[in-house]
Amino acid sequence: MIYFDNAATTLHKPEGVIEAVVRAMKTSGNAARGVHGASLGAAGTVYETRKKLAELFHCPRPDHVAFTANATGALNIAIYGLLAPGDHAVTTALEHNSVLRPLYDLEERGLRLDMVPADRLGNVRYEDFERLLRPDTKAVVCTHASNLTGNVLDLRRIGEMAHRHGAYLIVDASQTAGCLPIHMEEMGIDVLCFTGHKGLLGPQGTGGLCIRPGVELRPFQRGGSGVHSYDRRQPSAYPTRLEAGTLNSHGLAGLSAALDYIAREGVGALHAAEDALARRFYGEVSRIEGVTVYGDHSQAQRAPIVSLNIRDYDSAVVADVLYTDYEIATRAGAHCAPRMHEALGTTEQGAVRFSFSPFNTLEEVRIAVEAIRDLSKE
Amino acid sequence: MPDSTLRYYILFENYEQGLALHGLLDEQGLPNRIAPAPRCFKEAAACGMSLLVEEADIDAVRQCIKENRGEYRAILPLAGQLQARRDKYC
Repeated sequence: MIYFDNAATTLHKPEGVIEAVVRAMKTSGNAARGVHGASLGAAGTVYETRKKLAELFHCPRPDHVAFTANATGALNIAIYGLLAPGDHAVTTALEHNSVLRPLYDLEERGLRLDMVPADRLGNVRYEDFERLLRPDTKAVVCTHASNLTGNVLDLRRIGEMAHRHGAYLIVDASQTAGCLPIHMEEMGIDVLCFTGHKGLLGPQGTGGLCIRPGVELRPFQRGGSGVHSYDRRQPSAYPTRLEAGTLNSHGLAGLSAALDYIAREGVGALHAAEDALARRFYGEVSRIEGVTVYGDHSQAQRAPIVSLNIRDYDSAVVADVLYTDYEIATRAGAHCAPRMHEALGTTEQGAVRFSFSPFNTLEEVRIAVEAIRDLSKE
Repeated sequence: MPDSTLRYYILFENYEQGLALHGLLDEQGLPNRIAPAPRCFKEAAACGMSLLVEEADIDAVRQCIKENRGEYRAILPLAGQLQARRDKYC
């Protein structure tokens, strides 16, 4: 199988990640529960992982890195922890449902929500943020890159505008963590939400959020923390405030090993490899008659995603044929990005998304291009 | 058999705070070891882990914490307890 569904999850993990998970499953106790060797081993792994993530994303404090099961969990904590009915928030048409649905839910309860639209290329106009930001805006919630088009947003510019209006910037980095450089302080990110199993090359069931010191998030869930056991309330110190229940220290051991791999290889080098494959693929398929490619591929910095359609064929059928006849795994349909599809005019047809990782090869790209060429002739 | 030696326990808000200070003290070559936080400290023992420091080292540890702005909840003495014979964890 040729795997081009890396925006959903990276299939190929560094060998060290798998070894670390297996080792942790044989040795790890419950992190922050008890002080015997097995527990401390897990606590140490979790703590080291926080430090590596803080370093990668330039989060000033490792204890302001809180773990969740995925980016959705992190975004729910950030959105519900910062926003309340009566507040005003700004988001964009590029968002995944992991951003939209919590915001819609709050909107039904009195949040005032404005959305920056996208054009047919999937681009926003930054003037629209300025237009929609108000003195009472509490937060801008936006993705770093669209999971459908791969278009990247200029977070530095958005962060500067948000802060000028006294608003927080919450970022969904699901498609960029591990792929593109992220600097919380320079980009003005107040809460960065990430998943561990995509560009970070770690196991599923890992993710989290990095919180700028001074940003106070209400706890999303409450329960056992291993500390302050006689208090009725969830402990106030980060990360315990946001981490009720047993952490996935087995998965985090894998994520820690993945972060070591990324540190060795370098985010820049890894992204250069996947970006070259995505651009080669785009360059070839965009010239094929009957193929429509979505997104702004003139952007200098992009997530390694190329979404397309062939004539008016249903995207699910195209993906099915790609897999059954060519053994090429892609993702068809709506991609949990309803507003983005509306902007692109693909609500009915959906799109076939090819998403690349540093472990894909030029030969795989060549085979995929030929498959698209074949199908476009039918 | 109860031991009359006075020892100091550094207590924390959570494991992250404790592990951070443990790393700092190790880095500075100051003897300390991770130990369960004694329950007799009640509310001060908010986190189950503590750092155990011998009386002879406590002044240097306090100085190190001050200079590096190390975070902790409390430093409390305790005597009259059993003593482990070796450092099992570090």
